[in-house]
Amino acid sequence: MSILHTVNKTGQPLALCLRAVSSGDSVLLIEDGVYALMSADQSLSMLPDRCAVFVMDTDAMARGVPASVEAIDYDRFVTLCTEHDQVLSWF
Amino acid sequence: MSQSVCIISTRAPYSGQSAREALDAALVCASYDIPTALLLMGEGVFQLLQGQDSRHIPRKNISAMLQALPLYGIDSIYVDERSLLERGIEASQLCQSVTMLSQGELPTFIRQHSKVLNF
Repeated sequence: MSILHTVNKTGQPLALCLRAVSSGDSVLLIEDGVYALMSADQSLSMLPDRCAVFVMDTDAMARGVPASVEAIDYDRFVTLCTEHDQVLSWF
Repeated sequence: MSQSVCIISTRAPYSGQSAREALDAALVCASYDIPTALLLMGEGVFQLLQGQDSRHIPRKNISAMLQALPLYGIDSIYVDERSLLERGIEASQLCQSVTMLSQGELPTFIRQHSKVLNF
């Protein structure tokens, strides 16, 4: 049982996602969620062990946010959806 | 895993239609006899404040709808305890009794359900 969490904003959506995430889940930052990668934002450091973090490459590039985690395209997004039991959107 | 649904509601009661849609989804699931849990997190905990009188907005009273859930077989409303603490809300201010989930219990609780929907 694993969940792919997509996060499209910092603030409440990111904060609640971090409370709900379990070890073995993955987090994908999309749209304005990519701002979680800005260096002053320490939120992602609270993730449990064995949690992969991804960022949508086009969203990060569009906003000028350096992708400090694995950047993925839409094909990989689809693959990630199939690799997890559920997809849960935080928005 | 047997079929069960967890509906997560994260918006204040009269902020758009999210709270209402979450309740509608919960009621639909329950009417098909699917075990259904409603979990309030973040600003969603404001839905539980007692004394709501939404006639003048005018919108349907969300807290009244929450209190009707047992009629549809949804006996327990779950709440992220930390979301209450962050907003200075005490159990005595809530319109009904709830089951509190601590930070440690939350991820496990969510994983117990075969489907999780976020509103």
